[in-house]
Amino acid sequence: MTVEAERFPFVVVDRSLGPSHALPYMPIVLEYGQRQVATTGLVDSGSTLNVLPYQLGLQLGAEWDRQTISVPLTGNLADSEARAILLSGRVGRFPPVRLAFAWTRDERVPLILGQANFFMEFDVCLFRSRWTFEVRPRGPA
Amino acid sequence: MTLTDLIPELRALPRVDKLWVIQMMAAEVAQEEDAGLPKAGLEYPIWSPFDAFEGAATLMRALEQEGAAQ
Repeated sequence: MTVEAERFPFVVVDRSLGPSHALPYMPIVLEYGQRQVATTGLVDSGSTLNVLPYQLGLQLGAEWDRQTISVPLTGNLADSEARAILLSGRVGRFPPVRLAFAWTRDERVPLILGQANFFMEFDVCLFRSRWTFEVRPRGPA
Repeated sequence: MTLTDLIPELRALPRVDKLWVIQMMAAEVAQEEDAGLPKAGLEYPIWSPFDAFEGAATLMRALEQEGAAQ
């Protein structure tokens, strides 16, 4: 049985630049240990992995020195060190899933939900012309 | 003011002003057609690590190790 998808609007990130600057930012609750943070993440199928900005990791109570697995990044993020961190993520009414992030020291990057492993846990449909996108948990393999 | 009113006014302009009007209107039309496209001189950071396959593999291993430990 297919779970009904949650629908979210595209978010205009800069009104002065017009409708081309609307992006699929999705509300998500991240949890690490006992701490939860409600935030929004950029649903980015062009990213090979999930990226957690430094400050958000600190808000979750994560300690940089306790994350020991180094994650090599590319592009604009290549110059910043990143380490693997495992969080729980809850989208809409769906049950929480384990999400692995590259926690970067970079403070400018948004929360990125990329191929590994957000897109492995959720099916996403973008309806850009209608300013909406839909997300549902992955179906059975 | 309509185009019919405007054309005699434009024709009366000195040559240098006519050239300036041509340039200005050409730039405006080009800008309108490029609306939403990146503009010269501005920075547009692309955050997506689109080819960080090694990093993605590292994250998947971390998840597998957590699953195996439970």
